[in-house]
Amino acid sequence: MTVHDSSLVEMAAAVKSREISAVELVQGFQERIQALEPTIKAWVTFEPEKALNDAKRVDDDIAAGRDPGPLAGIPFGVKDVFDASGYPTRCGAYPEREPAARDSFAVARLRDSGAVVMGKTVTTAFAFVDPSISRNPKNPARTPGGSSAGSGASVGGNSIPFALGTQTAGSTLRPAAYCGAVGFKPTYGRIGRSGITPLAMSLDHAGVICRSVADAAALIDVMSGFDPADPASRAFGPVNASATVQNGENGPAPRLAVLTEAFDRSSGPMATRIREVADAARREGAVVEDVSLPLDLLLAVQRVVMLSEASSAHRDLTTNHPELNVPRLRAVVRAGSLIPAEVYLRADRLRRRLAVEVDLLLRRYDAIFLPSVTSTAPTPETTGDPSLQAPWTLLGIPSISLPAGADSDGLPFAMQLVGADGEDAALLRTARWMEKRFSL
Amino acid sequence: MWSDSFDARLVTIQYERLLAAAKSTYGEELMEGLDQNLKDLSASIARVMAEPVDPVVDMPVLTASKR
Repeated sequence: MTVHDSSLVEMAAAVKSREISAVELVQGFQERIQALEPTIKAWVTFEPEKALNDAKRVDDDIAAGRDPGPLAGIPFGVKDVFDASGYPTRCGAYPEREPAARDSFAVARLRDSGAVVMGKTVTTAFAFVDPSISRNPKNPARTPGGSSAGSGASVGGNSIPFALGTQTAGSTLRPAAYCGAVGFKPTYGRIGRSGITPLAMSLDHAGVICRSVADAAALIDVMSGFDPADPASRAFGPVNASATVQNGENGPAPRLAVLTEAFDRSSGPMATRIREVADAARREGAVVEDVSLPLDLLLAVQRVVMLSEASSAHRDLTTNHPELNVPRLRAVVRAGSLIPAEVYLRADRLRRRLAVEVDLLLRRYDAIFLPSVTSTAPTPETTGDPSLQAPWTLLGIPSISLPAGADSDGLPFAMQLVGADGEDAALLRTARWMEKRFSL
Repeated sequence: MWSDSFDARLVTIQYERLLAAAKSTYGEELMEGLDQNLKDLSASIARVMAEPVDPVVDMPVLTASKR
């Protein structure tokens, strides 16, 4: 295994000990990107010299005896709805735009930790459902999912160790699942959202697509924090996710609530494979019990909230910019504008009741367990079905997708674990227990 | 605790309301994709409106101090 295939912690240690320079680390990933890019089209802005200059600054810090941070020299992709200073934020729609003047909260946190912006990854237009040009690295005839399409494709293709995503319905976990990567959406309010172009404010989350649970933990440890410019930001204390994950991987077997409605919605092969994982977990000592939740109601509430808020966010944009090629977003904005206030408020009332019911369930279990996606990656006319990721986005609770093998065509299966509000580190500990035994 | 089913005619009623509102707001000719959105949305609205809520207990997230 090369340094490029090691964990984020190991990679940063290698850079700090000068086993490899940050410049060499970044160059190695740039070579992978350039080899894969003609096939998967994951990057919208890729300027190798800019990233190499940033990497050289990390090397200079180390040479001068300064600690660049826990992610020293590690390059990452930025979904093109996050502002990153010096790069335009084109949101998958603007043909041209001036470079952003400052970093979004998430990008600033990562840069402060020594990580290096490699460039901007392809997003569907305004992080919604108009499909992108990106393709799945496991099979270019399939979608990488969306909306974090380029982030999923590049991490799944192993050409970048991690990338940022956002999730309003299922836009971080679904591409991760389709592309064979790990996708993690922390608790709502855990990662500040200032500098992210919004889609639906009470649903929008920042998330990460990466290669392991340990990497997700390392990232949440540096990205978590209060963001005064985000009205939904919450003042959590330190997560200590890395330590929790490390201590827990050989700890007690988890208690898993298997969501039966999710298996009913899934294709035969996906449902069968994820049931096999649940059965294997039981044999390893996990408590595995079937539970039921009103998935249809969760999805109905999520749709009403998302369309109302997306219409509010983007009505002016779609009205004032007829040149933008966003036909599905335009239709959604119009549909959302017709939702009566009474319906939106009723959905909001039900949202709270649903949150309470799921919270009570998660006092008896460590995680809800279900397939991440209803099937393997479909063809690229669609970004796929968000119905198994969207309920947890609605409730603002953490969720993670892990690879769980592949079908005979090499398309990944994926399992999902959902944790309680604010319990991100505990969810990652459960995920690590599962990953160590069953993730392929 | 939750409704198992609801009258399917509620979806039709919601769709007709949305369609009339769309035509009066945006014109008689619907843009591509809007009709399908209205159909999907009418099913969601019907499901939401069919679920009883307690005006006191079911506090909206908007006004609750959850976060």
